[in-house]
Amino acid sequence: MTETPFARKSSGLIRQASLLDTFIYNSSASSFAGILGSYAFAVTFTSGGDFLSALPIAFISFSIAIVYAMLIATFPRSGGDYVFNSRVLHPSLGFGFNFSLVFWQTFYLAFTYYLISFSGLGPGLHIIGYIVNSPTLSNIGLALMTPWVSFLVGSALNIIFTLIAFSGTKRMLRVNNVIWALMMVGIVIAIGSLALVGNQGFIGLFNSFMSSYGGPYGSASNPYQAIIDSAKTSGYAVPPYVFSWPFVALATSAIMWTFYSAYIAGEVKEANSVKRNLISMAGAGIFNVFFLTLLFYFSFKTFGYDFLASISYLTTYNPQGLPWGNALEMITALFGLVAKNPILAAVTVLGMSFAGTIIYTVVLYLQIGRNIFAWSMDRLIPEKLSEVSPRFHTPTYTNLAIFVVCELFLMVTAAFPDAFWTILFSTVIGPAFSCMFLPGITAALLPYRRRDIYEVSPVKREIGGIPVITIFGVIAAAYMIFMVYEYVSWPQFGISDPLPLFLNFGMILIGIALYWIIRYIRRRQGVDIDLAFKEIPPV
Amino acid sequence: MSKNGEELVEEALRIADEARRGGIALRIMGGIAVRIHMHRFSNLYERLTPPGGEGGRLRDIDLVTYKSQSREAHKLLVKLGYRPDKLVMAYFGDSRFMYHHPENLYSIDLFFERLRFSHEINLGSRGKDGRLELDYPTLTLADLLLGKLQIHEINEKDISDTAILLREHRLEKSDFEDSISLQRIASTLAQDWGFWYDARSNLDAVAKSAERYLGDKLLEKEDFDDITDKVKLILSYIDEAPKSRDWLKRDREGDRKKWWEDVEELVR
Repeated sequence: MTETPFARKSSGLIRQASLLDTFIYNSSASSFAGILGSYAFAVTFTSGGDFLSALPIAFISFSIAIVYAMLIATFPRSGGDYVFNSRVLHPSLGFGFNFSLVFWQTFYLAFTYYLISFSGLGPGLHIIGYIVNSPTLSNIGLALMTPWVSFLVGSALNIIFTLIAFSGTKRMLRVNNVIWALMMVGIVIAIGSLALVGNQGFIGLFNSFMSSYGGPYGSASNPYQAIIDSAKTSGYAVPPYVFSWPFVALATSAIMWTFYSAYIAGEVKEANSVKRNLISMAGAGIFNVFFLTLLFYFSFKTFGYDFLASISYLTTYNPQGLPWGNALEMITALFGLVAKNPILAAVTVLGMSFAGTIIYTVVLYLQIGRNIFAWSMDRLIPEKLSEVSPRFHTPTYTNLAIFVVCELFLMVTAAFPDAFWTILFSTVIGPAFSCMFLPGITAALLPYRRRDIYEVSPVKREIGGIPVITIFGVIAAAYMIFMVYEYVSWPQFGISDPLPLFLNFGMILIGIALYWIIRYIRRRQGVDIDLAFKEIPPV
Repeated sequence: MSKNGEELVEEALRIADEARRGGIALRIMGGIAVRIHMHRFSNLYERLTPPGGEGGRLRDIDLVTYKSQSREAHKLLVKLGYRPDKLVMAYFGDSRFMYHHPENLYSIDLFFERLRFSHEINLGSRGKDGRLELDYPTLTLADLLLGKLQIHEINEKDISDTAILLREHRLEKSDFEDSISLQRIASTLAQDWGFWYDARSNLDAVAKSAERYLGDKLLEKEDFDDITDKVKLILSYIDEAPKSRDWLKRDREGDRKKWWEDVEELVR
C-alpha cells in the first residue's frame, strides 16, 4: 500500500500523554541530588567553585531541546532520534547512534535499580536514623548500602517496573508523576529550609549533630571549623569562588536531557506543535535550572562555600570520622539537618535520595522500550520483539528483554561494584553524544536532504534565507563537540584513556557495523530492510 | 483502492455474526452501522451521500466490544485473516486495536467499552451496565447518534448521517427496538458539559444543513419537518434533563476553557 507519509486517514486517535505529563517527564531527566553529588566531586579538582556562573554558557545546550522540539514536531512518532536520523541521514547512522544510546541507557537503568538501594534508600534511612536518633533505622540504611542487598532490592524493582510497563504507558506516566512530585517536595522543603536556617543556624545544627555522632570531628569544640581545617591539613586548597570550565560540562549534563518525551512522541498530545514541544522540553529545562539555581545559591549561602568544598573533599578522599561514605549521602544528610523537624527531614532526605534516584527509571525504561520496538518494526532485530500482547497491549518480548538484560547488568554490578562505579562516572558523555550530536546534524540538513518533508513541516521558518532548524542544528552539534572536548580534556572525569574513550564512542561504531551485518543477513533471507526507512512510522 | 460500501457492510455483518457465534459481544458502529439501519429512507441515504459515492462514505469498519472480551475479539479477527497493527496496539491498546485487511484494502478499528473521541461515550462493562446487548448487530441507535454528536468539528458526512438517522427512526423515552432513546442521550449529556455543548452545536448544524438540503431539493418538505422537529425535541429534552454536579460546575466556566479532547488522525 503506497501512501504519502502525511496523508490523513483512519479514525481519530486520542493520544495519552498530556502537556503536563510530558513536562514532568522531561523535567525528570535531571536529578537534583545527583547534580549536587557531582558538584561535590568536581569541586575537589576544579580551579574555581562557582557553579552558578557556569549556567549561562550551559544555556546554549537548550539548543538541543529546541532541535528535538522541532524535529519531533516534524516527525511526531515514538522512537526519538532513531526515527528521524534513520529517515533523514542514513539508517546505519540512525541505528548506530541509537544502538549506543540504548546499550548505555539499559546499563544505567540497571544501575539505577541498584542505586535506589545503594545510594538512595540506604543513605536516606541511614541519615534519617541519625537525625531521629534511631540506630535501628541507621543500621537498616547501612544494610541497604551493601552490594548484594542492593542487588536484591534492584531485582525487586526490576520486577515491579516490568509489571508497571505491562500495565501501559499511561500508568507508567502516572508513576513518574508521583515520583517527580515526591522529589520536588523534597527539593522545595530543602530550599525553604536552607533559606530559613541561614549560615549561623546551620553551623549550630551541624555542630550539635556531629557532637552527638562523636568521632574526631564530633569531639572538636567547633566541628564545622574542624572540617575546613582538616581538609586544609590534608593538602586541599579550597578553589576560589570563581568560574571554571568543568562546571560548564557538569551544568550542561544536568540540564541537557530534557527531551525524553521525544521517545514517546507518538503517544503525546499535539506532538506536531513546536510550541508545545518547546514548553515540555526547553520549558522543563528552564524549570530545572530555576530550582537548581535556588538550591545552589542557598547551599553556598547556608552551608558556606569553604565548608561545602572542604567537606566534599574529605568525603571523597578521607571520609573517616564522617557519618557518610559518599558525596550524595553527604548532601542529603546536610539537607536533612537543616530541615530540623524529623518528618520534614525524612521527606527531604527521601525526596532527594530515594525519589531523586528512582526518578530516572520510567524515562529510561520507556526510551529503551520504544527504541527496541522501533528497531523490531523496521526488522533490524527479530520481529518477535515487536509482538504485542492483546491482553496487556504492550510489547511483551521487548519488556521481557529489558528485564533480562537489566537483571544481568544488576548481577554483574553486585559482583563488581567498583568497576561499575568507574564505568558509570566515565561514560557520561558517550550516551549524550549518541543522542544529541546526530540530531543536530539531522536538523541542520533536514531542509536540504528531505525538502519534501521540510516544506510541509511546522518548522519551515527562515532567517536571512537560512532555515531556523539548520541554525539550531549547527549550534547543537557544535555544542556537543565542545562537550566532548570538555570531558576528554579533564582527566578527572576519567574519559581521556583509550578504554573509556572506546566505551563512550565504540558502541556507535559497533551499532553501525551491526546495521550492515543485519542488512546483509536480511537480504539473504529475501527481506529488503531499506524499504522500511523510506516510510515514516504511522505513530 | 477500497472495497465498495456494500461489501464492507457484508463483511462487518459477517464479523458480527462470527462473534455472536463465539459468544463475543461485538457490535458495529460508525458509518456502516448507520448504513445498516437504513430501511425506509435508503433513497435519502443515497441522495445525501457526498460526491465520490458510498466508497467515500464507508472506508473502514468500526467495531466495539467489551474490554473483558478484547482478547477473544482479537483472536477472531486474526482468525478471519486480519493483520493487527502492532503500533496502535502498543501505544493505544488501552482503548482500541486496529487491523488491516490482508491486501490492505481497508482497516478495522476495534474499540473497547469507552469510546474516547472528542468526548467519551461509556458503553458499560460486560455483566454490569453493558449496553452492547441492547441491540444487534450494531450499537443502539442512541449510542450511534451520540457517536455523531460527540464530534467537535463535525463534517458534512457526519451531519448527513445524523440527519438520516433522525429521519429513519422514532424518538422514544428509553431504548426500544428501532428507536432512539432520549433518556440515554439526555443522561449521557447531563454528565459532561463539553459533550452537551458540542452536541447542541451539532444538532443546530444538522438543522441548518437540513434547510440547505431542502433548498437544494435533496430533502422533501416532509423529511425536513421531521428532522427539524426531532432536533428540537432532542434539544429541549437534553436542556431540561437534570444535570450532574460536575456538569453544573463546568457550566460556570463555559467556553472560556477548552471543552473537548483533540482527536488526531492516524497517519499511514
